[in-house]
Amino acid sequence: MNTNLEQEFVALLEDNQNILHKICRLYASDVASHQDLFQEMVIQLWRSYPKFKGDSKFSTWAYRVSLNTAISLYRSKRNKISTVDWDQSFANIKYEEYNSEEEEQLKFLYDAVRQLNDIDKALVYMYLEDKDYAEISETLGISEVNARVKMNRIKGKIKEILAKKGIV
Amino acid sequence: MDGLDLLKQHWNKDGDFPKVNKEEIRRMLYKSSSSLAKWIFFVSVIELFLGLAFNAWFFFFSDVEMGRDTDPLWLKIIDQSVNVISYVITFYFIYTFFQAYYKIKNTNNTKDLLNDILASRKTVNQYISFNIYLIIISLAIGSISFIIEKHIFDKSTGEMMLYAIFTIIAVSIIGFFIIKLMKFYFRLIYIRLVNKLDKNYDELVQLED
Repeated sequence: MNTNLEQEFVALLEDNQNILHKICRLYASDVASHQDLFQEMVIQLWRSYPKFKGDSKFSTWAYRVSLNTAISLYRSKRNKISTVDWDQSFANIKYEEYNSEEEEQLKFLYDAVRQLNDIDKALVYMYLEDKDYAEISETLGISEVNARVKMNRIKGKIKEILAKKGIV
Repeated sequence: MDGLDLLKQHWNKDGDFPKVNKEEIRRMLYKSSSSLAKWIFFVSVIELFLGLAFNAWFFFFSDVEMGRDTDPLWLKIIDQSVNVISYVITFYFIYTFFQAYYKIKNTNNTKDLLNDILASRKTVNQYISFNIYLIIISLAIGSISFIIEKHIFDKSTGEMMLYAIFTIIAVSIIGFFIIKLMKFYFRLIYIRLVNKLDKNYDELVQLED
């Protein structure tokens, strides 16, 4: 069970785990669903790891599989009461605790992003990660022009959401 | 500066995530997945095999109950042909479903992945529609067999009419309830499993077309 492949994967994932956390931050609305989604991403990554040939960087491959998991495979258990043991490592994820004024503004921005649909969130994630449009279009399977159009619409949508709250 | 650019400034600084250690990751590897693809797979396999069971039952039922000695040869031939064809089609659907399912890879681009999952589900939907047609055909064959057995054609026009109306009404009512039940079932399954995928897929193809 404890093979080299497993050790290699676990080490790589430990180093790159923030990729998963960042995606979870956009897709999950609370600590429990963050934990669930993180777990599902790890399972999906592990399953397709034998096919990862190192054509791309581990981080690039990992964020793509993780985004696909969030968009296509993850089934939200929001309605269920979580019976999973509360994992200490997840206990200090901040979701609604912001103090200073700037942090307050960031909180509204994160909230606005969380109101977007799954595809838009993926675009936002890649935008925030500074991926170019060629990569965004390749990851999602849409044309570059459409990726740009979508991105502009998302910016509009976020403005709208913030305006509704009287922030902009 | 628009909202996203402000967020971008903080995106990489704002990495106050808990560290999940190696042991915790290792434990996660062997937990069972709750992915939509897995649920779709289970539901689809159950549906396919229920269909197979239905076919087997239909085969048995039509031979013992309906394949009466009074049936003319042409009706027996139709009956048996429907059986054979339904088996061939069922196995075709099962084969297509498994083939589509194993094509699903989360390393594809998002659009292809969504497309592959939805394609596997579409096969099962077609299979369920096929089974509804099969039920209707079997009801029709049963009715014809019944009409022949009762020597309805030898009876008076009034009696013939009565039998015909009775049969049509009975078949319609049964057909109506089967279709209603199926529609209800589809809504249930769709809302739970496929809705999210459909929505996300539409979102991606909307601009492409």
